[in-house]
Amino acid sequence: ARGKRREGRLPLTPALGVPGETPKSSRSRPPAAMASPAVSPDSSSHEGLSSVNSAPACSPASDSENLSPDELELLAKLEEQNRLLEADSKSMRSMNGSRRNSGSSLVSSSSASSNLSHLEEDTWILWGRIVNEWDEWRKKKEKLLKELIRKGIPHHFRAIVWQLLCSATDMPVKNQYSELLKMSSPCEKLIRRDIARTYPEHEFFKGQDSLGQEVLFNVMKAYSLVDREVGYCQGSAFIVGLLLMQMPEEEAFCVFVKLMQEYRLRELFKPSMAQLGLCIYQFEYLLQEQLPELNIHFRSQSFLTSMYASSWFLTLFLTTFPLPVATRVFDIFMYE
Amino acid sequence: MGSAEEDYNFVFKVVLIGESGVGKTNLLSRFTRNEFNHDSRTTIGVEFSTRTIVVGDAVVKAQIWDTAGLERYRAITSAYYRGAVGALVVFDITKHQTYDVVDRWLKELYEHAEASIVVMLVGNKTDLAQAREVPMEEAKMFADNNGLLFVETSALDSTNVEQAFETILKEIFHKVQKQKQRSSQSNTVSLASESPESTAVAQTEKRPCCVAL
Repeated sequence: ARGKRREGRLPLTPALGVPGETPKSSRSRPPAAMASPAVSPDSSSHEGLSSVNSAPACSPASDSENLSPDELELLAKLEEQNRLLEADSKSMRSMNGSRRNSGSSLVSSSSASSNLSHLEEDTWILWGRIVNEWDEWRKKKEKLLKELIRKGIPHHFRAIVWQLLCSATDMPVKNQYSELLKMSSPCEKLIRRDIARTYPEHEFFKGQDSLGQEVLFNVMKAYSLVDREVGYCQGSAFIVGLLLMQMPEEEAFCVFVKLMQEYRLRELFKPSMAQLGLCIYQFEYLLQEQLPELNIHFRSQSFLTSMYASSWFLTLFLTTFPLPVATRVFDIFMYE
Repeated sequence: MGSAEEDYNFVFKVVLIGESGVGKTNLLSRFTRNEFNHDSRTTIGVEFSTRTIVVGDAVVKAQIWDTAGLERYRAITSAYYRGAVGALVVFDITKHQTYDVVDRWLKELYEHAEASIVVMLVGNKTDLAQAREVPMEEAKMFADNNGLLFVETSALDSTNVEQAFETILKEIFHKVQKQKQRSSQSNTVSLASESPESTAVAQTEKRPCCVAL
């Protein structure tokens, strides 16, 4: 039964090579990137599933808010299908296009079409349109876009939407990437030390020779070369790891560069980490203002803000919340 | 931080420091939860755990802080030394570089912590003896010369982990007892207290001995 399901393809999935997103990255990509799968945040926990019906918990929180039980079940099945597909190394990548011709998973799409809830379909169509008409949405429908993002970007659209949100789709630095990989960085040893300790429980990053660890190392190294002042700083690998769960390494690299520069994350990771001190300070005052009793209690216990909140800022909650939740936070962070 | 009803006589704050990847987090989890995790995650910022043990006739709650190892975090972690009465400076016996920088860690420690803090040098990962790069005698001598307690441990197979923490907590306890005879302070423990002379005493005082293997 498993094999059969693997070959099946849900109707909308082929359309996921989002309109407007050309399969540009198939050119001179190093071998590693070719195989980079889009890993869903919680995929690690579903390897052993033998029945489609047994996966009600894996519907994405993003779209399940207003659904009936039936719809929820359908959604769960759908997600499970997608997951299996993604887990299958032979399957076509949704965003990256580099495996377009592998063929093995492209099977007739009509059979499963009745499984799709209208609501879900609407969401896909809507997000497809958003991506297609991005500039217009960004300029004229900002409020609606914000609302939709707060509800969660559908998993398959994350890669492209995140890239669009931070304008990382056309970056000159992308062309340097393969050159950077050939260079050596003074931070390599430090980076290496943390690679196996970044999302160690996640399937994609498991194992010393795993693709996940390889591409994570690549991106961290490349970044340390373009930003010598920051180089490598602990915490940042979790952010890059999340990006790599969604998109190939070159794209992840570009988004990370944007996050560091324009979202000012590099201020947090600079040697002095003064910005982190400032964030903690601001947060402390917010706590005092909003939750004075809790603040007094924390103080009486000498429970310093920096003790628990440092990682919130440095990893944008990625080491605090379960990944599906942290990914939603990241959606919002990207836009707001 | 535990329930308010918890019954203990002292809270000792102990910090774990040392290079990234030497096994601080696993030492802590071995001691406080008897767990070891092969796939442990990089510590970002600070994490801590507590365990309560009995020393003499007192119940001591050890609050152990696990800091991120990377240098860069030092700026922010320096705040964490405040109020610490004990420190474990950890290195990896299979990586000489992690031992070479012990000096730097000590320097930073003494810059931020009270001078009377009890310090233990810990050579971790003895389960990887075949890959040893730091001879035990060398580390032991360094510890003796610098007035540090010393122990070698394996968080993986549990060797000496319990012993390491117990030794340092007892040592702190004895110091506190001595101090108590002079001033009558109770719950919050400060080794340095107010008087400069007690600090001096604590500093010159001979450590009873090291935990040999």
